[in-house]
Amino acid sequence: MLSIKDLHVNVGDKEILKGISLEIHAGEVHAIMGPNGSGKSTLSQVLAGRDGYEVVSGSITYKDQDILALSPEERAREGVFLALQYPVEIPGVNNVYLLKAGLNAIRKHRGLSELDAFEFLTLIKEKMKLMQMDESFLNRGVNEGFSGGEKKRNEILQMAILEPSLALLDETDSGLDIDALKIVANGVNSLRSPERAILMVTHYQRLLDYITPDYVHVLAGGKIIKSGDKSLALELEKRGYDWLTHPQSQKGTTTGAIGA
Amino acid sequence: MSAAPHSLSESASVMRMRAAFEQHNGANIPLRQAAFATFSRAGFPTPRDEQWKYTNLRRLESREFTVSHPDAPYTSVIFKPANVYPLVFIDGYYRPELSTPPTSSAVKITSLLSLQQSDPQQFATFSDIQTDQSSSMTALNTALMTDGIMIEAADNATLDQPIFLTFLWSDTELNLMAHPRIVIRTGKHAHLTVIQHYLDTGSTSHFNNSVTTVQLAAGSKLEHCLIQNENNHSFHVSQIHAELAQDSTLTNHHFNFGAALARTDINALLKGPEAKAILNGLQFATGHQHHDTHLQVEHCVPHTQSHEDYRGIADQRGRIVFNGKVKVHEKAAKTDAQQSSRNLLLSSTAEIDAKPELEIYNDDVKCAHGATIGQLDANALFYLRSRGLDEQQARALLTHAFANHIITQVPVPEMRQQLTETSHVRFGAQLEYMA
Amino acid sequence: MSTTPHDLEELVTQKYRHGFVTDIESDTLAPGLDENVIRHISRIKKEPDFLLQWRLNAYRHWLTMPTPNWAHLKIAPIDYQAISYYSAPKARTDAPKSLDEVDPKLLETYDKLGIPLHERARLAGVAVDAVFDSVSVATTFKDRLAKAGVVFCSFSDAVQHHPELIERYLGSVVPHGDNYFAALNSAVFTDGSFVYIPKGVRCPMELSTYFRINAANTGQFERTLIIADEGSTVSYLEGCTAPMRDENQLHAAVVELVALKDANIKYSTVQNWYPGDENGLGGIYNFVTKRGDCRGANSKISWTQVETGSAITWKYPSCILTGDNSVGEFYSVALTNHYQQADTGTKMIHIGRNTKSTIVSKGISAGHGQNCYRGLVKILPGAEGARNYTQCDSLLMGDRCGAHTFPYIEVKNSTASVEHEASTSKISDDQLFYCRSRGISQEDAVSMIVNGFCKAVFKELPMEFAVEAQNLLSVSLEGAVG
Repeated sequence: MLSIKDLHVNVGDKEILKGISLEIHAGEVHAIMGPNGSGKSTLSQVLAGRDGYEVVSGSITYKDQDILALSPEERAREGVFLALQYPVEIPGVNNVYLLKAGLNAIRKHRGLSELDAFEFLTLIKEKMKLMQMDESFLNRGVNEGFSGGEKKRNEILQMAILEPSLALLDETDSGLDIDALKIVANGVNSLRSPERAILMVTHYQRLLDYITPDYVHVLAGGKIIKSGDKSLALELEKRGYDWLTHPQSQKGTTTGAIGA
Repeated sequence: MSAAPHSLSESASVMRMRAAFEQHNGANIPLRQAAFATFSRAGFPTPRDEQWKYTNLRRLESREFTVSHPDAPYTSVIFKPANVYPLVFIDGYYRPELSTPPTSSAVKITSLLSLQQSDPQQFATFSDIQTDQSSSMTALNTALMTDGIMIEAADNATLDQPIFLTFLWSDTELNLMAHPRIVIRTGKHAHLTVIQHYLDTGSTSHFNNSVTTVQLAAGSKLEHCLIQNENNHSFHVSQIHAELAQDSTLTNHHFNFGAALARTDINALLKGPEAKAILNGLQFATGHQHHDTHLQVEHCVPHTQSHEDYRGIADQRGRIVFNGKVKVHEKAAKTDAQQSSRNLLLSSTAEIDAKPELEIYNDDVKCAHGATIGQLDANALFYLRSRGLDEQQARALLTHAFANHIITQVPVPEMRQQLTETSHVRFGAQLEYMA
Repeated sequence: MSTTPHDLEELVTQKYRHGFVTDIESDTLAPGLDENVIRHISRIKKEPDFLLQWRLNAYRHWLTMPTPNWAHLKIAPIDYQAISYYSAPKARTDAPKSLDEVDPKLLETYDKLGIPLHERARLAGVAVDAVFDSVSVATTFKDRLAKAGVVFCSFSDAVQHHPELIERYLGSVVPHGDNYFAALNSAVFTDGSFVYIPKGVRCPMELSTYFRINAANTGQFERTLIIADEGSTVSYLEGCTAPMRDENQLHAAVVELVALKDANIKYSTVQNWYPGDENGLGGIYNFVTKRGDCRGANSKISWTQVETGSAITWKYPSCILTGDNSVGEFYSVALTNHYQQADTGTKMIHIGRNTKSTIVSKGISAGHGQNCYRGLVKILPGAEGARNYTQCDSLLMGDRCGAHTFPYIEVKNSTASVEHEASTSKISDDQLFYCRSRGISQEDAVSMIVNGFCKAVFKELPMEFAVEAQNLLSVSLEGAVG
């Protein structure tokens, strides 16, 4: 479904991704883990088509087409969904309105009929139950005055409604307490299907206790330095990232001690 | 070259200033002549001028003030905090014998009057900010300047303690006027703290028209306090014109406590990226006092910041005017300008006028202002009373807390102490009246 | 896909839809202004002497007034002698008795504008007074309104049939010498709408006036007077369009509202005068004085405006809160694109006890547009317990426009409380990206975000107008997104 080949990405003059290759097939759940500043978020933003990231070389193929040529809305209509780490507030724009406009644009693109207000409301109410969201949400502005947890739940709700083929979850667990995390994970798990691929970007292993990945990749210094199954995540939890990023960390510590 | 020509339409008050100018020992200096011509063309500002909409100088103009002279006797104790370099002005004249300038060679202190006598050519350049044209009161100061101080800090200069400029009046029955001028220039990465303190414990009406020009070179920092505590019969006009280069920071703490009428203009031009102006102020007007502060910050280049935090308290027949203008020039993207004006109106015969202005010519900016005029928080009052304070105590406490927010930001502990005491004296008297 | 100011401009560039000219014969006075012109207008309209004298007083006062100081507006001097002060569609010996007597070309004009005057065709529940150039051409639903005791007619008709109300209330809110343009209007006003709601009556339908400038080189000087007697309620809508012409045309109207005890007036405007072209050529100079007097206790006046048209807009719909517990409101959206300039805001004068006012102003600037909020909140010493809340937000689109805020706050009562907040923002890249990553096109996303920005104002508009306003905004901004 998604094929990333030797991707190099700059932000300004700085090279952030230094040759990433990744194959994701339908039905798979991949987790990308890595320390802060490793380029995790850059990867998800580039996949969704965010401005300000310069693809220097390499390719991203999604459903056999070059995704880099598409605008963010075209990617969304093709079934790419990004749940943001920091969802933005849009004052005065109603949640339902944004979602309905988005869903109908996507349906239209897929040759489906647009949903009317009633059909849409029925759909959203059903999905809100899944995410345990209060009905008052329907009348609020997009993420306006939402708590961190509400914003994340809202992202997954949008995903449930837009039914993407490729879901990118950028640090979806950050800022969530354990109860909210369970709700969010539950929402994501309910969307797992043989037709859908999910790529999770996360710093901590915690999320993976609730959403079990098929593959785990470690991203550090703009490169995938190790790939494995879910046991890799557990090892990272135990040993941190240092054993991978500084294989000779023992020596590093000694140097530090001399310096001090 | 003779003095500037007389205009037939000149008002009586301008003519009185002309008479003073003609006797002045600088009347033959071209710089001063030009300034007086500027002043006489514009005259005193009037409420027809948008910048003076709420402040009428009629009371000032109707009085006759005598030009002050150097070397007037001064016998009272001079207030000064410990650990400062005090520079003392009596009636607008610098008095070296009462002063202790810093000994560091990195900071040069020059009397402008002595410069006028010793080096007229350099004197002619003491004002390199072209401000006379912009304000007739600045022009009047340039023309009639009694004396002044030039503080020049070399690159990387720092001082171990603040410079404390104190402006006092001699014991006299005469209504005097003084036009002191302060010039502050910092070299690159220099750090200075300068306090300008105007104090009058007498009761004779005087007129102080003071101008401060500030030029901050790249990376330099100036902490500046302007504390006005003249007696309640006096008139006080002071202006600060500041230009900030790249990475420089001006922090100003302004207090309007005294005077019958006090008008302060603080103009800051942010001319280099990452320049930052922080303007904090407190105005407290009671009795028949009138306090007017106008701030104008111009963001001329990208990536500059300004932060204004002003508070006003008006009681009895006092009047507070606050005008804060933020102007963002076309090219000044990434400007961050925040302004807050909070005011307490404690009496129904008092008045507060606020005008927070934004003038923005760039879309990539973060600008906001808020202004409130109201009373002490009724919930807080109730809370304090439910804990056993009487209403008067509760009001005094909350009013002082309101003012204290500004006072606590002053960097010199002893100055904070003094400001707290001043505010206690002023609020205390006031609060008895309220009870 | 980065968006540059250039893209933005394309998005904003949209042709004015109401710019056609109706080919109709008009009686138009030769350009120029003197006392004879005023006498002539008054004679054509068969006015009582008190009105002629009032006009002449206004004119004599106007002559003594200096032209206004243009604050933040850039404007070429206006030659008042080059304007024609009266233009009326020809071939009417008297006012039409019914719509059947109205020139079909005129009816067609209003149809084209989407304002059908035939009662069976028009929106249920809205009565319309149509003002074409200087005169009212038709008022619909007169009969049904008359049954409720509501007077809704052209100003000229009111002068003939209700002179006592005119004499009593005309100029009682905006005196003839109030300001330069109010004085000019008082001298030469030609027509407008008149509304009287009797005691205790809730007006059974929305009332609406539709203004149209057609003739070239004419000014439009209409005068609207609305009186809501004790305990009555009325909602009034006003819409405006004009043909595209290269020269600037002057529109200097006066609107006076009087709300007596317990009365409630809601006045909504969607102003879409021709704004000039994308180079700033042509367009209407819209200099309007609008003021309401909450004369009685517990009365309320609410102004809502959506200002998207005109080359220059200069108006400050205001409330004088005289009655105790009276309420004034001002909700405004002003959009300036291309070279448009708007200087608009409100004055809330608190005189009575426990008076309350709310100001919500949303300014949108795009292209080279300059948008300025100017407002006054004044609490007089007797206004015990007065409250004001003001919120002024600006949205800038592109780096050549300007947004300015000049609020004046004057408080003389220590029990009053006034709160003012202002902010300036742009449509952020984050917001745009967020919408686009949900499948919404850039253009729709901008329109969505701008409408969200204006929501607090739009929700104050009557339903039909709210939809029109949103569309208008989208059209005026099409292509304007950064």
